[in-house]
Amino acid sequence: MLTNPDIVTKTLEFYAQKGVFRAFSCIAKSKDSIRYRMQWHKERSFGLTFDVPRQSLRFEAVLPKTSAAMYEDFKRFVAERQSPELPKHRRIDPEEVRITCSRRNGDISVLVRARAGNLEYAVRALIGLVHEVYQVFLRDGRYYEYMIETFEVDRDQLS
Amino acid sequence: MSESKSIQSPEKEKAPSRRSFFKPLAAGAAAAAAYQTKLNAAPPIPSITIPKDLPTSLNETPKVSSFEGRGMTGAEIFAKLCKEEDLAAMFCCPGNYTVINAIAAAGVPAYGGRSEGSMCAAADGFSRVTGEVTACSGTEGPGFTNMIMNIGAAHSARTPLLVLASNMNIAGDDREAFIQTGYQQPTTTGMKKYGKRLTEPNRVWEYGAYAFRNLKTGIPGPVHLDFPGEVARARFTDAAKLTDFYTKDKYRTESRAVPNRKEVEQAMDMINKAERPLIVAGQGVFQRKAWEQLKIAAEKNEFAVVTSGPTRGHFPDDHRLSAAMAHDALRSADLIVFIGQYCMPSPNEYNFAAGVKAIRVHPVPEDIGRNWPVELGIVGDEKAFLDMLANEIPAKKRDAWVSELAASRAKTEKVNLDHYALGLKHSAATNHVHPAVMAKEVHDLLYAGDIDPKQTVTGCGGWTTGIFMGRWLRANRPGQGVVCGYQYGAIGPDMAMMVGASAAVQRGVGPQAAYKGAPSLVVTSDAGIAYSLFEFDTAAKYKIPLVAVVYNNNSWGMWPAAVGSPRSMHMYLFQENLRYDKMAEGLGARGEYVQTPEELRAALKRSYQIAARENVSTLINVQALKDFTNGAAYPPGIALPVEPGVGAFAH
Repeated sequence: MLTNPDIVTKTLEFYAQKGVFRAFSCIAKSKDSIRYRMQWHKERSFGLTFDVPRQSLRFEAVLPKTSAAMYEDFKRFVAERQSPELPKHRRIDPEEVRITCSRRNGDISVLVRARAGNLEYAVRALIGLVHEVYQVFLRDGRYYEYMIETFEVDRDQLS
Repeated sequence: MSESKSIQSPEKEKAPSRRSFFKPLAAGAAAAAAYQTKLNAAPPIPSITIPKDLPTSLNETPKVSSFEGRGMTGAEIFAKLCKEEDLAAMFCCPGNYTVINAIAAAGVPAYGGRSEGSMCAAADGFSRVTGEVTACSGTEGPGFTNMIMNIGAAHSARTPLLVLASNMNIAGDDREAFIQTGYQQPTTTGMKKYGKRLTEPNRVWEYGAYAFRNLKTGIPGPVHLDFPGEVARARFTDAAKLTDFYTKDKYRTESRAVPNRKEVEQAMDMINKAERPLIVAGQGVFQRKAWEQLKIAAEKNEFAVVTSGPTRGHFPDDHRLSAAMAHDALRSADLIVFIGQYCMPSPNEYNFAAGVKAIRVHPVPEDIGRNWPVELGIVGDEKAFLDMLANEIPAKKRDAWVSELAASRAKTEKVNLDHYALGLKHSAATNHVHPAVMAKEVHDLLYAGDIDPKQTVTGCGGWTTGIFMGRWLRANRPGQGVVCGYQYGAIGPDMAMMVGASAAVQRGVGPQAAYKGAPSLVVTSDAGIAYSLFEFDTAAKYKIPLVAVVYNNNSWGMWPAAVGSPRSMHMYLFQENLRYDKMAEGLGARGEYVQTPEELRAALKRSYQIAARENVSTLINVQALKDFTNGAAYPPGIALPVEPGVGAFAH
């Protein structure tokens, strides 16, 4: 039987195997937490921590250097991902996970806690959410200059 | 011919007229009168006319060369091979004289334009809307190097483009004899499928076969041959002197790799088990003319389809199973099947769910698994695969998936309309046309009025222009849309590329047959038009009817890169209010100048009607402001396109 850390690691490895992360590793492990690092959107290095006792996963600095207004938009976007108006296969089920956003020094972090013990679902929900932040939230026109400045990309290289 | 409007802003009314400008120059009434007399005495400025030699030359009967008598030159032998291979068209500037004259004489449709680079783009455009092999040609050295940007664009687009150039004489190699010496083949390294400097006159046919083997089989790409004088002008009176002088059925094959039956069955099983399967119909589906098979299979099994590649329309945007506008639904797909995706993105570059299952069908094995890990890789011809799918895939109804596609398309339409509403507001506030408004007006002309929505071939390029216009252009039948900046991101070939595409429409080649003679339309920017504006002369010369909409925002689209760098801004700006419409008039086309949505609507309609009726091209100068890309002041700013689908240009 797989332990909870095994489930999280295996689910994340699935994404690495699918080319979603271009690089992936477990960088620190203790009884209570596991830290992972992956190279993902905009070639950024993302840090993810699994809190074993709390059954929660936290992405630090999903979006760095944000403004307060952007954070408000971000929270709205996250809430919309849980809307019953979305098709079931694209909706994050609030019965399964609780999502908490926070902002410190401009950096937005996202924490997902498995409510019903379904950790695979929690990992998939979190990965799907951050993926949509980069695929949808950042692309609607308001954050074009933010991406140029924050991710330090050349305008000709921003896709 | 000209019907240019003169829209006068209050500032312009204060500007000096010709009369008031000269007034202070005259010392008095006598001097002014003397000057007027002089003006009156000046001979009238002659009109722009098409030389009478032009129709005569175009109506000449093709010449069949023979080994008898004076025999055939190396150029004529090569031209014979091009003709036998049905080379669809050649676009060139004078230079490489022996070869271009021989190809034209052999009966290959030939066009002469104003710069080799533009002619290269035109050949690419002709190929993009037909799938056929085309050629471009230029003189050694400068003419050849002028083509480089557009050879690069053709390489990124996997265009079967034959690049020809003369290259001095072998006898002068390394001596810098006379002028224009250059090593051509190293220059095209990294942007061709095959290349060769021909050095043995008796192998000219053999290397022609090399060229077409590469152009017509496998994954297409540019082939570059450079002809030294010893080869082009060599004379042959005896076919026995030529190596490998045999017909195309001997030197290449039409045979294609048929996909393994078991693997196809596995793919069909995966498609069947998926709830929301999506086919990405890549360029290979167009190149192999497999659109009917694709449509049959899609309608039978109700899977969604989105096209990708430098050409759009091999699955209609207006089809109920099209995901080209269904941006949200792309992320719902639970199985992706890439068919003939020649330029492969990485997983996060397409708007799919993270980790979605993928199958890839590709004509050659080397590329399968590159960039995008697959559950199943199938080596095989796209048409053969889709034939099997059309014949064997079980019929299935997917009502929920079809409904989701429709809802998603409606949502994207709403976003477009929201941008349009913002654009209208900005246009009214500034008396300049916002790009979202320009895009909607072009859309309404082509797809929401009296014109058959399948009729007009369109192309689009430029940064701001491409981003706003791309999401409003539709491709409802094969070869209807050209993504001018596809993958390479070249700014500027748009106009020339669409001259080539429009030439194909005029001739009714391949998928253009049903719309033979219809006008085409290109939307480009003030930055872009500078690279190929002169091809209005070519369009006028050959009566190619093209409506060019030029978004004039007085700057390079990337001007915000200078914000915060005070000593840089001058490098990003042009003179304001340049009159590209006037420049077009000077080249024998019509010019229109617009500043409001209403003026644009009228100008578009007028220009299209004249293009259809009289084969006359028009440039519509759409006066805008660079600041419209500032999202804070003028929302929505730059909303990056969703890939794949309408507006996609990277893959």
